[in-house]
Amino acid sequence: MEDRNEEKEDDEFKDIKEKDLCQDSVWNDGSIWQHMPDDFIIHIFSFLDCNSLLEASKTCSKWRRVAIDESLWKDLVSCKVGLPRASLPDCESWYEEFRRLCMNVPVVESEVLKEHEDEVYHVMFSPSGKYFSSTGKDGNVIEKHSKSYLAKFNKSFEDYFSLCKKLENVLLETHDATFYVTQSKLMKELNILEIIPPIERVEDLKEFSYEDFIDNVVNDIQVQHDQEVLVTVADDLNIRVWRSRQAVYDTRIASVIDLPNKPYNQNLIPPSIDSDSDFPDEVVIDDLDDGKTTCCYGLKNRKLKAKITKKR
Amino acid sequence: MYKKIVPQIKLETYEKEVFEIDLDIAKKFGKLVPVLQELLNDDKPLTIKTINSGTLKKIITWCTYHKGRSPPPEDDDNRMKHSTEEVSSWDDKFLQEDGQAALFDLISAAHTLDIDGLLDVACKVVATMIKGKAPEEIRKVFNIKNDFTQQEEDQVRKENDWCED
Repeated sequence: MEDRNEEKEDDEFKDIKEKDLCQDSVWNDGSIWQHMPDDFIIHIFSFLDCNSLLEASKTCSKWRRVAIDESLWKDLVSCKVGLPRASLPDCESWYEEFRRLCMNVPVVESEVLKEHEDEVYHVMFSPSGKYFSSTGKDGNVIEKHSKSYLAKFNKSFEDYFSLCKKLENVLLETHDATFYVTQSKLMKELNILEIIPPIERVEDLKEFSYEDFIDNVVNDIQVQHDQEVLVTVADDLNIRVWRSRQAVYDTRIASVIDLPNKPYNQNLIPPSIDSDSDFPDEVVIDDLDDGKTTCCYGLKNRKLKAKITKKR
Repeated sequence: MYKKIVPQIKLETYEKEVFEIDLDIAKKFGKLVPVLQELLNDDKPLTIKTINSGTLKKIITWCTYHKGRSPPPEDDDNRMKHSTEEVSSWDDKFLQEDGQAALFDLISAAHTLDIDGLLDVACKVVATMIKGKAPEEIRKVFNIKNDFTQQEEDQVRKENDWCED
């Protein structure tokens, strides 16, 4: 019985034993670290941050193979989004997901738009994602065009808010989940936005963190995933556009083209600013069927308050 | 003079040297826990050929030093991953003083015997040696041979040409 136990132990230790015995020759032929079992390297790598892990992966083929181990990157994602591993949704590649969180989530403030004269209440992307419009207490409906973005907008306003609500407590099943978690934290913990000075150089680009949101109430947040753009509007009269680091690296900092504050169009009831309360309480933006026209409405009590149409 | 009898188990190393180890130290060896009672009753040592005497001595010293000190939290999610911050200076010196080969042996042995605390701290020490270094520096420190072809190296550099901050 005891002997059998011993044999069993010996068996289990056999792999390592062989490595130990040939250690001298291995040592001379490169490095014990290069040839050590994957498990050990993974354990060592589990104490590295993302950047060190990426550097380590460039040293040799074995380390490269081990450094992309999914469990390592799942840990990193878990740390980054502040959720336990067990609560993370399924993901095809945690390496890609971490990279996406670093590079493709819009957290860099790229533009501050100052067209509004009073508090800004609503913002919305057009279905094509090329445009967004905003409306505020000043009664104006302003349409923006971010020219470097061409992808399709595939999340509706309602979807976004229902997701945010789900997220108050947790989790999603979509690929975008972790991004939403980050955002819902933002919605929950701080409905406030600090006044950030305009950005001059890329190095000055500021990434948002909770501490940034101190003084102002954020009235609305809209995200356009495919194009990696997030827009916030707040009571500091500003519209802030946030883009991903990848977009910034690609110098995709779009200069925002202002479409006229004044309606282009004929059938329009001009926005009135007679009283403080007389501002549109909803904004709707649409790409028209002909693909060439964008229509933008400000609604008050579901009635058309202002309409801007722009031919492209 | 009265001498307190401490229960001990016997382990035999690669060099066939027999060590008598106090039970409360041996309890830290996760792999041995299920067979501890048998080992206590048995006068014949358990042979672990993969561990040499020098390494076993270090392990006993480490376990003795850390006896009574509170172990790090074991909850997997609360464990401080991806950080090398909490290595004490005692551990750092103790683990590095005999060179890399000894550190490697220690990691192997901690793995073999399943001594979590030691395995973690030893791996952290190695991770510290990697941290903040460029690939070429890492190769130098660990004597790693660059086995990439030029093409592969370019590929790896391109794929990993991003960073967190």
